[in-house]
Amino acid sequence: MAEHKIVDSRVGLTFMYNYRVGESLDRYLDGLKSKKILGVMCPECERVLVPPRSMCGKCNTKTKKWVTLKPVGTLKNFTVSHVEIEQGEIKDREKPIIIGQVKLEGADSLLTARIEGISPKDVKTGLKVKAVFKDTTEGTLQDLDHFEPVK
Amino acid sequence: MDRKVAIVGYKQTKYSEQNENPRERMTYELVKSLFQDLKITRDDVDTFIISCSDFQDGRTISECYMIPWIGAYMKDVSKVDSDSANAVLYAMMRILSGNYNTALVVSWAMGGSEFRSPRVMEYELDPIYERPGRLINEITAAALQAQAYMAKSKLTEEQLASIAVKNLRNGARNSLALRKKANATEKDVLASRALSLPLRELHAYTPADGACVMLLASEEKAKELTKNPVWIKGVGFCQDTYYLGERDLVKMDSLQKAAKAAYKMAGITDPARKIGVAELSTTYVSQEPIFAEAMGLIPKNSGPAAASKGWMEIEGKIPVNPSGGPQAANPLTVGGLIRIAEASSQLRGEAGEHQVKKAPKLALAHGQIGMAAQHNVVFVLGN
Repeated sequence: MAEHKIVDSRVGLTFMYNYRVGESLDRYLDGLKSKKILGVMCPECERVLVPPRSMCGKCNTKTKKWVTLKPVGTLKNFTVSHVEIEQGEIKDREKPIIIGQVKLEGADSLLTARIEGISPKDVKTGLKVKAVFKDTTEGTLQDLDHFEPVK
Repeated sequence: MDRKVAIVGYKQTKYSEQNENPRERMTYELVKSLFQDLKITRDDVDTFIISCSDFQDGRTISECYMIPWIGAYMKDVSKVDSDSANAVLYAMMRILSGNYNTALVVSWAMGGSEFRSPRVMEYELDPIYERPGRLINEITAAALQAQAYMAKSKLTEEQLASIAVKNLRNGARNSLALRKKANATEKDVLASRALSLPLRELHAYTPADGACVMLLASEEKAKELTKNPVWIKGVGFCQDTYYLGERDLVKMDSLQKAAKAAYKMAGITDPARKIGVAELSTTYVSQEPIFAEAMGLIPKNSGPAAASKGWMEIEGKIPVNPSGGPQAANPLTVGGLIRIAEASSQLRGEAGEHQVKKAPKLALAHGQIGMAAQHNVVFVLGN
């Protein structure tokens, strides 16, 4: 392939957007800080959404009723991921991780989370799992560290 | 529709890791050669609809730099920063309004050389719910979709690999394709780099540099410009919620609704029998049976049968992606327009080496954008 001259047109900005989280996630993060998983119910279709949203897209209605969900559920779907996106490149992970979609008891949406305590070759849908929180919580999404099989 | 809209001509570049020209010259050459073929000048174009991505071009309002190159200087121009199937939709609507007789759709991307797709992947994510967790991205979302389908339909890894093989072989017959593997085997696919299982490198789309342009016209104008118009018989579009955990990734409600609307407009009740060829924006091959089922091209949960019996091969009963599809080349945002051009060339019998044998009367073309195909656009075309 012929070599083409290129121009370095970098601006030197790092894109830092100060996104505000909004009231639903605010409350969800407070819940995580005290090791609780909160969901919110749509008054019309009565679906319980986790993570909570301030409105239900299906019904175009404000969600109001908060529920504390039990930190246990079922693994509904998963992928064994060998790569991660790092600074715009697809990089191999040192060890593959299991990314699961978990249906918490009483919830209608699936929560995406890391699954640990089981090997990628043994993981199956239908597995009963429980939430594991970080020892020290800070009110961030990372407080809910992963799910692991219920022994 | 009171007014009919036709595709009268189109041009694609050869897809490459690095086009010999920058985007300006690449697109200029393409527009000029279409004008020459149709024996028109830019004065014959009533409106220009552009599809490109500011993020990929690295400029804000990135079409504004390209106006002279595409012949749109001092003309009526608008832009869609999304998959180019939406630009065709927009162009068609302008003609249906009765205020325009011709519309030129132009789309480009330098996804092979200047800005490869992983660079944009993290910016696709919801910045609040998903970016900090670093679990969901375009690849893992498609992998979750693939896994859910395989669990439901019992499609095996070998059958999934055979769909990739089919597309790689088809790509080898397409003179414009970037990734060509005439002798690909299931073994090669299963030995390729593991991305997020069940998906591997050879299941994924091929980032590329390239462009596509297409002229649409009203019925009267189309008949003046070509003996071989391709008519837009129906169109449908629909968008699901962004959040994966609130979607049925296998049922694909948004695609189902888009296809239903397109069939209704085209007056089709049995798409599996009426559609002769389909070009689908399957960014990962696992989407091929999922999309085909959602659009009623094959029965529900019949992906395994379709794969092992070769239904979607060029010689099969419903050929899908005879061009090789996005596995052959996928300059992001240009994808949908390429699918529409490819479906049109099948109808015209101009697809050369990858022409389907039984001349189709109706073709389906599909564009999508968003993780695990959140937003879908379906066109039914006929000659």
